[in-house]
Amino acid sequence: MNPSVLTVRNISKRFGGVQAVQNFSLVLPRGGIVSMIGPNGAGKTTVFNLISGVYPLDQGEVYLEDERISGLPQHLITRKGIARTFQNIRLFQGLTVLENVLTALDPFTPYTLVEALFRLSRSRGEEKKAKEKARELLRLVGLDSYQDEQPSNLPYGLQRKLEIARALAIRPKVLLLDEPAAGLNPKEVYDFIDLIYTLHEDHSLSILLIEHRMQVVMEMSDWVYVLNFGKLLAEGKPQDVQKDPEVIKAYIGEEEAC
Amino acid sequence: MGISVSVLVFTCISIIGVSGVFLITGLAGMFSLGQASFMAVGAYTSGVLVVRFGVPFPVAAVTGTLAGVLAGLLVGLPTVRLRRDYIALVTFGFGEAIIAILNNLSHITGGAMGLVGIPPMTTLPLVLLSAVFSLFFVWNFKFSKYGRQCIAIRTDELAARSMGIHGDGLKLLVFILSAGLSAYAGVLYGFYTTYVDPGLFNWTRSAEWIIMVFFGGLGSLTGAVVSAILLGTLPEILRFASEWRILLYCAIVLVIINFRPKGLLGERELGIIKKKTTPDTGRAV
Amino acid sequence: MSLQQLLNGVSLGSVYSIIAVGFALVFNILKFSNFSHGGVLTVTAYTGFLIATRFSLGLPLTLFFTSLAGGVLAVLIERVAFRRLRRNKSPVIFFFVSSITMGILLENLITIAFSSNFYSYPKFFQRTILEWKGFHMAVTDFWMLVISLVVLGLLMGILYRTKLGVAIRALSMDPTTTLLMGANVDRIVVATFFVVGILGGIAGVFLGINYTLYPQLGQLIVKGFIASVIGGLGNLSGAVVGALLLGILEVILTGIEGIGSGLAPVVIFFITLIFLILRPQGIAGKIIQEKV
Repeated sequence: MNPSVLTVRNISKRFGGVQAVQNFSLVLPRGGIVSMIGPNGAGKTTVFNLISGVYPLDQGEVYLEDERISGLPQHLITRKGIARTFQNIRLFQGLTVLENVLTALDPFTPYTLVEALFRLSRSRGEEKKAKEKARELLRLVGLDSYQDEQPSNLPYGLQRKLEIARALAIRPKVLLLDEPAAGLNPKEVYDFIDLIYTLHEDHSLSILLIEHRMQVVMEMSDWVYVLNFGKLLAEGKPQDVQKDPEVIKAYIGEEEAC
Repeated sequence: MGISVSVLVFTCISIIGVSGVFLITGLAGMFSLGQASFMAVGAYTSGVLVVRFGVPFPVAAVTGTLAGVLAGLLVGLPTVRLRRDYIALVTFGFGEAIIAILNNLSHITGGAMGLVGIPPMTTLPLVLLSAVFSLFFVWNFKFSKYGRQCIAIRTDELAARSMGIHGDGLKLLVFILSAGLSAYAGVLYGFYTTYVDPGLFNWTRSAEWIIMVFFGGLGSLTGAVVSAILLGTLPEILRFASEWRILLYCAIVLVIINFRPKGLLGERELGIIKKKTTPDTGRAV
Repeated sequence: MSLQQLLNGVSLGSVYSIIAVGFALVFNILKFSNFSHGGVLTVTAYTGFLIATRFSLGLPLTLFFTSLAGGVLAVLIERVAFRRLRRNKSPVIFFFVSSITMGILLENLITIAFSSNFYSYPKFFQRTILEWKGFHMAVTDFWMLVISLVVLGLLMGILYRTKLGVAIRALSMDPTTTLLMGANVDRIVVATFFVVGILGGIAGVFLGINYTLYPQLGQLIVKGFIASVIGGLGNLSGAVVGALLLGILEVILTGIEGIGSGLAPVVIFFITLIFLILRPQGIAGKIIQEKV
């Protein structure tokens, strides 16, 4: 079995005159937690977008286990096992909390259009099962008492958790988290790290993380990739990267100054 | 006080058409200015089959509806992945094209003079039953995985795709279904009025249905039905001439959009499922 | 295709280009397809007719007053149909619906006021046809072409040489920053609509001259839309090019036996469809990838 669950090889992407990502490579080992850090605009979210298929690659490849996924349409890449959250929370505002998770289960729920239109027994049965699964997921992140709420009525920290519950519904092999701790207060960040660890262990998830909060990165990551101006600046274990002078110059230096 | 049979029939036909628009605009967020042209496809196909070829009504009705479904597939296939503005343009163009074709094939369709002599097969019970069934289907659609995914696509297509939802596939499905509903509405229409002409199926009729859905609240099927009934019967009761009726619709929409963008019912439905609505910023659409 | 057809097509296209540019300007700053512009076209076409017949004014004065009327109308439309939506930061769909509704409303107002009778503009010129080396051009067509070119030239001048123009262009690129830079966005929007209304007024008069007056005249806004799409949605010079191509195309199609003006919409529909599939960003446009 391939020790790496996600392999990114030499990917590049250009937008008009801007080279957003250049020749970037990354390996996510099975069961590992890997972080990407870098100043704003370094191209980290673009890398996520390239992996999940939002933008087509200019060059390079992405492999999920042994299968090549670069070039596939977004929804297929997801169904193969890559789930993600977004920097600016993208929940479905017209749906309740429960329905938000349900929609992620929907592509996998097995009943046909005719069965749906006539409300035949199989569709009713599968709907019940799906709702149970969705409630289960909400319980995992502690949101089950909110299931009929509108997402916009939830406090920010809980909205982030909802995004995670929704991502988990896909039963992903790989979870891409884009600044999941942004906007959280210190207690919420602790809760959050706890949650991720639990999920990581219980569900053997491999996690790729974009974060600015050094605390999160240092505590959680097995390996760190540093990006600057779309290119790989450094990579290594968290404590080593933290000491790398180039990295300090480009990025952590700014943090120290704050 | 006369709510005559004909008003009831036309209202039910509107309900069928509006339920189709609810699918495509309310659930999936696409703007089709050509729904009326699918109605024309249904009306003319079935009408011509009976008038010129003596086909029995049930067969003609089914064929007319299927013709609408097919047209929906043909138009929808290239269109659904375009941006919203473009979808409006293409469906508008399709509407114009259908009217032009109908006008020109005068030896079959009667051209601008219209198709006459369609036997009156549409009865009130038939129309009522059809309306009820249409609503039954669309309601079930909305509360199934299909409806949910459509709402997800409408709200945030990018996020929906990254949840594994097949955006284009669903949009095409909805497009086809609503074309079928509109076509069936056209069949009922033609066999009630016994006469159709191309001018009846222009983009303003499509826009009227869209306005009804908006008035009721984009996410609410109940709202769409209520406004179809209100906006359909009110002018009759108050005896407005048709131009004033349209002015009234327009004024209503402008008021709603400006002051109550969620429409009458917002996302709510009456009865089974009660949802809390979001604050009145119109942002939830 | 003969040179004569080319001439006719270009003159038709020049009218379309004024419509298309008015359309594209609003798309640029507010990012939606403004179908209310069709209503402006209809109202101004009839207004011009009234002015020309009641006061027996020649073409230049008719154009002047009608375009003013158009400007005022457009500003009113902005106030009623779009101002509040902007304040509420409503989603684009609402602007779209509001504009269509406004367009329908205006069309129906005209229908009520004038009923479905057909009217036609008075003759503005003594000679009706110009002749030059065997080529014919209707005098009105000639003037439409000339005036369109002048107007477009003036518009480009405004956009690239005046403060207002800079403001409009800034707004179309980045509304938030423009606001933060202290620009009065409301005023820029109103000014843009005024300009758009003037363009609409001119186009309205030309359409009224070219076609007989009927309330559905405003549906020719679709030509503007199609031209913008061909040229690249929002791109002004693209809209002009697209409009000229559309005009030429229509003249050619109408001249072909078996198609004529009856089936021309069908052919145009297919061409637009193919265009959208093969090159959705238009001739000049770029596909704007959504920043995630």
